[in-house]
Amino acid sequence: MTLLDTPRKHGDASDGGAIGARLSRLDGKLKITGAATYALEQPVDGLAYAVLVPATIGAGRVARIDVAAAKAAPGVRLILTPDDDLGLQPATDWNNVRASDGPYVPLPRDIAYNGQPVALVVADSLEQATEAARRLAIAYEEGPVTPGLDSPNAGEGSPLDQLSVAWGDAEAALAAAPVRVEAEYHTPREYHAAMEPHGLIARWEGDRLTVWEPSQWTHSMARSYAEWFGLPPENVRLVSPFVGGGFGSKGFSYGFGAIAAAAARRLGRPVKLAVTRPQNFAAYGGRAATRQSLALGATEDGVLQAIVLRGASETSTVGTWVEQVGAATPLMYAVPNFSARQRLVAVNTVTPGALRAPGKTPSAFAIESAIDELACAVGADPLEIRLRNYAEEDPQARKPWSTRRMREALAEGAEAFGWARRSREPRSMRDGHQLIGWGLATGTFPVIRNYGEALVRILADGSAEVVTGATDIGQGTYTILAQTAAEALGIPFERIDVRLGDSALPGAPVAGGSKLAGVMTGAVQKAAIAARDELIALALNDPNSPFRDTGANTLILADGRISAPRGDGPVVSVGELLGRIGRERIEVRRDTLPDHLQTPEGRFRAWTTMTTVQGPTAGDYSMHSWCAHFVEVRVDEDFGTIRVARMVSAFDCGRLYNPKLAESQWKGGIIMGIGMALLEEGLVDSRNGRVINNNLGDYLLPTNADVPDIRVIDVGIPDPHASALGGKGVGEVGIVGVAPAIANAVFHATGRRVRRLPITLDALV
Amino acid sequence: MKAPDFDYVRVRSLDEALAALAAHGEGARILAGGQSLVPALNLRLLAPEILVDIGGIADLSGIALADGTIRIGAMTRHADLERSPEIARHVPLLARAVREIGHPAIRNRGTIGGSLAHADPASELPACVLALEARIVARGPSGERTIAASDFFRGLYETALGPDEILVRIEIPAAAAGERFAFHELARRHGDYAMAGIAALARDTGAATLRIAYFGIGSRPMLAAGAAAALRDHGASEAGAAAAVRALGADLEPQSDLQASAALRMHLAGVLLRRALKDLFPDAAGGREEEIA
Ligand SMILES: Cc1cc2nc3c(=O)[nH]c(=O)nc-3n(C[C@H](O)[C@H](O)[C@H](O)COP(=O)(O)OP(=O)(O)OC[C@H]3O[C@@H](n4cnc5c(N)ncnc54)[C@H](O)[C@@H]3O)c2cc1C
Repeated sequence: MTLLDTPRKHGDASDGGAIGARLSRLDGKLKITGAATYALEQPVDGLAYAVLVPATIGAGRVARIDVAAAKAAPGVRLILTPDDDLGLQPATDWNNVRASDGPYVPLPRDIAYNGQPVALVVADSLEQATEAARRLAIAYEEGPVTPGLDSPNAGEGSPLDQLSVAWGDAEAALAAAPVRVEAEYHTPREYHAAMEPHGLIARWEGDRLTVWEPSQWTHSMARSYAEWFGLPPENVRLVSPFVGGGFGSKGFSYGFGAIAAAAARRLGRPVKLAVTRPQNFAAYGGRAATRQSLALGATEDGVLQAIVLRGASETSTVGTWVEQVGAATPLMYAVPNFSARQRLVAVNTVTPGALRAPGKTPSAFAIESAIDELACAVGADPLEIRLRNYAEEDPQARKPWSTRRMREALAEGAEAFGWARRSREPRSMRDGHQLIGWGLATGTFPVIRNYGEALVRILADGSAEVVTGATDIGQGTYTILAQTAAEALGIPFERIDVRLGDSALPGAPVAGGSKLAGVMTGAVQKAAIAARDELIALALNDPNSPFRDTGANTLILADGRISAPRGDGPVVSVGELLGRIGRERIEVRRDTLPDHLQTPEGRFRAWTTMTTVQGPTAGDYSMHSWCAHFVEVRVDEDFGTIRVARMVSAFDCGRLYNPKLAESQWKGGIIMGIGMALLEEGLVDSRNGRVINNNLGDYLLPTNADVPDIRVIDVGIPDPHASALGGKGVGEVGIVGVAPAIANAVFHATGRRVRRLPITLDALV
Repeated sequence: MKAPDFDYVRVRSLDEALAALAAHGEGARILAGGQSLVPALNLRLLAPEILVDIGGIADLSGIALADGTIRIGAMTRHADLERSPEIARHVPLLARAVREIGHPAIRNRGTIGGSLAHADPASELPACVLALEARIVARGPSGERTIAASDFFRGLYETALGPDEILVRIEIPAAAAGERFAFHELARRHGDYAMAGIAALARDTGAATLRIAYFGIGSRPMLAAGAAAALRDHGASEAGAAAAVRALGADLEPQSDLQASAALRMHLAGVLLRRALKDLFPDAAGGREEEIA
């Protein structure tokens, strides 16, 4: 089936229950009524409760832990410290590489960051474990701490040559350019701050392990547990039907999971570990702090001649995470000369990780601020300068875009916002004490493709089931997979049940990289069409079928009923037909893997690593989602307080499987972008590397009252290259470009260019 | 996290409450709306032996006007102040300020007595009672005593109340004809505690009776007496405003924290004062906006 075979949809109620309809989330009611069971709410008998004990120094080693007082506390069952050999082996990373120099030690004696686990205390109740943990006497030998990227002792770090990008002669073209803008841009450490904190319940039955843990990738996380404990993969089951926000943090198993599961095995009793809110700021990493020095060279008309980017990001001293600051820079504008390089600086932090639109977000902050600075330098409108430098093809890969509706996004966004009424000069619009600024910035996110597997069952009562191990982290997987199956099967949406979030179910990639919808709608559609074809074949051929003698050579399945195309034969419901031909169900399992991965090893690799991922330029085209954000800010002239007053954002994400859910993803990303621009910043104690604001009172996220009216506009058209059904990613692109749009608006309001996020009052007064 | 173990008693009268306090000494804590105390317990910042819940003492709640004085019972909720026609009419500064306390859910439970006794330097109501020259009435083993608001706030979370005393009510002179107030606060995020705020009151149309109180600036709510004196001397004019802002340097002891540096707070205090003066004296020197810029 190709795109052309799918009926046209209007995205409204006239579409019924199928793809493109504005349906509410299937899991919404369960969640708001408390009926959705999250990982830590699983009713498991005989639980013991674990408390993680974090290091209170930024670097050094654990000299000794005196456990006597803690052991003597009531209810204590087990204490694990660096003195315990947990007997674990290393797990494979997402590149399918397994460190051979094991063992894996999640409770090491050496301390690389404040908050690193140094002990686990398990007791009969959470209160007992908490109290016993307090009684541990831990002696440290403190070492010198490098608290952050900008610390004096952090140094320049090491070059990441594999990330260097260059074409033309950027340095020379920059030197020769009549107009140059050069500046340094900074983004701070940021955190996922998902509503549902991390944690798990681990239960052993012999050498079989079940883990209930919030997950964006059940198969891969289950594999990590299996490898740590030296078990065959099928012995581990990781269950995660509902997730209270992941944003990139729940794709992997972490050390705390290994420690808790090891404790459960030692105790012979299921263990629950709830990572506390403060611990969520160090048990896994957030977005790395970055710094970019960016120079644009242009003609007097603002036509780009050169872009030179020199960036750096932080990682830990024990692991490598690259926040790729050049991720968006080479894509946004046509430029004949380009050079980007990045360095990586190791500091005393937990290893940072993926946070919604990793790389693209800090990258867009710099390039989209710089292009605004260029517009000012040459006296051009910020929208006009983007059109003057419009990239008609991918400037880096030199491939045509599959679809790039950026002109439409700029035009329709501008129209809806009223951009034409903007007065050019900074500080030229005001309302009493409030300076008004209008800013614009654009964003992008790559189309990433991969493979998936789904099982579709048509049941005797005429309903159907869709089953896969993919997860719904709030983005709407349940709903769009039901829509996909409904359309392919001709069975109403309300009669489709979807089961997700369990590594024992068919394979799926990570719910990350904005690819799951595109991948899994393709897999479900394939399985559902195969199930429909099987049903029709039975209806035509089974001796007990009413269609046997109609002479029809195909049948129509619609609204849960089967009929002949000419409309003159019998009409029977799916359930009735199955009854007549004596079948309980039709069950079909399909995957979208290519031939070379149709082996046990290939399948396992596809479901548990990133090695089968295809990037945006893997084929003949360069494929990305695009957006343009228009922002009005109001800045109190004397106080420096900034309020985002309204936003209009236009998106090209290809075809939308469910516009209501896509809009909610875009708005969620935009709100996160408002937080990034104005509020979010992990503050680190320079003496000991501790994240000071490790709670939701002090780590500021926007409240509803901080979020203005946001209007989102869809300018996309189906992209036949991007996915089976024509969609591009919607989940991450929304945050990309919001911070520079706000910073550009703040400049327009105040005449002050703020290049360090978040933008706080003191930068403006 | 969960609170450490504690005992709990819900008392029916003030005498019962005082007896409980006397019996447990420093180990007892009064529980009013619980909006500051319970979070502190759950974070295990406090570990009292017993909570003495005064929510069941009927005569601790309510708002009454008599002899030109508004009396507010300690257990009166923020939401009651917000909705009260008496407060709107006779203490409009309170009616304005109370809207800025947290969120509706907090205001439904939190009490004025709890807010004053807790003495968070960033809280609105302590600064308001300073500006209003309120009297705070406490009851202890030896009976009632009245403490002027200006003697009540001693330091960070520290008041003139003894451990055996209960704040029972607040007495505020009802607004006179011509009385004016100004109230402003700043927070980076809606609903948060203020990073700087001002509550100012003039009992008549001139600057002679002006009282200016700040919150969120230092370790306790503070009266800016020097600034008020400068305005009395120079009158409500640009010269007066400039002198008042200069005087803030001696009046205030701004502090640095995660939200703002002391220098930024000092700047904000000056802007807040100018904004407040503009509200209070719109007609100053002929009523032209620029007069106090
Ligand atoms: C999310 C959140 C946001 C908030 N935002 C704000 C804000 O913006 N501005 C603000 O001002 N407040 C804010 N608060 C605090 C709130 O206003 C509290 O209600 C107030 O600080 C304390 O009042 P309470 O009645 O809840 O007192 P409790 O929490 O019950 O008690 C506080 C303290 O006062 C003592 N106490 C209480 N009553 C008496 C009494 N009658 N006599 C002697 N001692 C007494 C208690 O023993 C305790 O030590 C916020 C609270 C939360 C949880």
